[in-house]
Amino acid sequence: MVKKGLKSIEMGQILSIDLMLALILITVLLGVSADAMDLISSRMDDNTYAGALERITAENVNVLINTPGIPENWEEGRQLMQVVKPGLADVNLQTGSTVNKTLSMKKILKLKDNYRELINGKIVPSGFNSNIIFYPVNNSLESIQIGDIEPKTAGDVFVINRTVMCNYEIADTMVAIVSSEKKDLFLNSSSVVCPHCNLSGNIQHPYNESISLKSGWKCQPFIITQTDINANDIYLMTDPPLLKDTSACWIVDSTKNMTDSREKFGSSPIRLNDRISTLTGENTNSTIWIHVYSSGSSDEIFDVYIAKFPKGTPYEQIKTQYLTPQPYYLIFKVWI
Amino acid sequence: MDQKGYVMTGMSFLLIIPIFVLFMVLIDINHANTESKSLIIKSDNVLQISRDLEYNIPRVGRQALKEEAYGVIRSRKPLVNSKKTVKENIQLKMDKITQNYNKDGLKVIYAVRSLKESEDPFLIEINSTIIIVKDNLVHEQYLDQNISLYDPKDPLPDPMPFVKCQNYGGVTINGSRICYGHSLVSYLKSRGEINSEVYENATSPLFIKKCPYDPFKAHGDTKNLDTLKNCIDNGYYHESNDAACYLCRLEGKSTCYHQGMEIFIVPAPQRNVSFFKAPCSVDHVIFSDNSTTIYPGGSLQYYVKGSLIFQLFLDDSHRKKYGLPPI
Repeated sequence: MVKKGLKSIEMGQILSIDLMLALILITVLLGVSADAMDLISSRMDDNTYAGALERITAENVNVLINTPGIPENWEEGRQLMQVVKPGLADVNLQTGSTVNKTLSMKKILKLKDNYRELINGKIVPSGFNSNIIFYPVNNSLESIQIGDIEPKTAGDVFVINRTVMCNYEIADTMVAIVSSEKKDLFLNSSSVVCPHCNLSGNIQHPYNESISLKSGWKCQPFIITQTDINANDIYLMTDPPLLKDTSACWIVDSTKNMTDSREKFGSSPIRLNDRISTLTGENTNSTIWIHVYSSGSSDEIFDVYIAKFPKGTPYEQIKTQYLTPQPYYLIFKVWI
Repeated sequence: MDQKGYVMTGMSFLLIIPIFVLFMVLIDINHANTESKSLIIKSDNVLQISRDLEYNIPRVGRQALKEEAYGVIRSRKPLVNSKKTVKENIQLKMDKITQNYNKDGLKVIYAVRSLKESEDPFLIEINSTIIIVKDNLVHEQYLDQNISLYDPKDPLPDPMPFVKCQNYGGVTINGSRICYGHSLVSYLKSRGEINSEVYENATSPLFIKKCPYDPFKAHGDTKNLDTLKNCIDNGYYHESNDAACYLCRLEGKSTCYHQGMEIFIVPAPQRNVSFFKAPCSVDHVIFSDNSTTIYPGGSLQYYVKGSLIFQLFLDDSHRKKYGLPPI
């Protein structure tokens, strides 16, 4: 039968043209969706991997910041670095506990010297590069960068930011006379009976039990050894470095050699080794007294520190900032 | 619906399959991501709690010691087993802290393993265990820490003289010193000691403070004994093998086999020296637990103010320890 020029096919067909067209369309659609799935799946894989890497790194950075490492004194270098699990947290030697969010500068510097051995495979998975930068909040301090140098063309870079305190430990505070009302040590310095209280005249420092701010002497003893004198530079420092209090002065003496030789504070740290050496004489240990006079005026308050720095410490590093933990921004970067 | 009753053709069904697969993969990835984030939060949480507890243990330990010491001072009754009592007090305080954490599936267990004397008598060792459980995450930590007995902001009192003098009229507190009134004289007389009158209105320091004059021989290195005078004025305690440690002082003991600390009991200043010998002015000698060991000391005038003479009575052994002239 022929209708309008088309020949009718009466024989059975396996595929009609419609079905074939539909199958082609389905095949194309399936192909496209499979391709899309493959693409999405590979992106998801990438994301999962990146997420896992970031998570592992973030966790390990937390461990690095919050633990002192194994062994706790690994920075002393008594063990091979391969067997050390690094941790930067500072340990309070008296209580044996870690100091919250405070890092030890000695550990940071040791990590700097042995970065790859301590970080790769322990904090960051092997095959990755990383570095840590410590930016001080206080601009008078320098930033510290340890680890690999980040190339300009680095691909994926994971960055972890934390705010921490860094304890320099380059100096030991031997004594502090803190005049500020806010600080607790004021109580300590005011409740000590000075050896000068038994003397008379100008040399007398009357005992002042009151903790209120008033003009007068605040005195504190500290113990010094011959080793301290020989191995360290001992400095007298004030915070702020330049005092508003024009009446402020200080005396360093001992019960054996009590004196009224008062000296004014300068704008820079004063080295005390010779003076202390004279007071100590041949003794291996000595108890020395620091006496500080202040006007007591609340807008002229200042703190006084005597601290020992290892011999040869550059003069520009003799700062009160190095005596107490300082805030830093920690930036940890990992890249492939 | 077609004429044969099908909702969708086979072709449409085939088209929907990839969408299902895609949807399931998405759910699975999202679940894995959530799980890993939850693990991080749990881990941070656990670490933070552990650090909090670690920081709190020495602080709570001091607080417990202080409470027990003032408890002895108030009641005038010594502790029978100071380690056990202080340990229980610390455990109670720490349990209150850990209770605050025990919620939202978190379980915190703290236990004091031991409390013991340290080689430094101004420190007490505390060993503890912390277990923190959060779902399937378990953190177990063993801590060995020290409790410092000296804190200038919050000093610990010495309870021993209060116990020793309770049956002899008692003692009073004047500022940072213990005033014995007549009690020390009565106590020494009851033990048959001669010249005990020199201890009428004697005083000794109330709070534990470590002496900075180290070595102790430095106490005698000035002609006028200014160092000794300053040490007495400040009420400094000195390390001693013979004296009691702080935990034993809580039990009212003046001597023990641990490394301890001794203090001078200072007679009131007098206008003239009437006695050249009297019981030795060191607490573990005067309050000796053994009646045969109160030994005399020779008069040592360390300061004169107008007509008032300040003196101690020390035996040769203690004079040697503090670098003071022999009898």
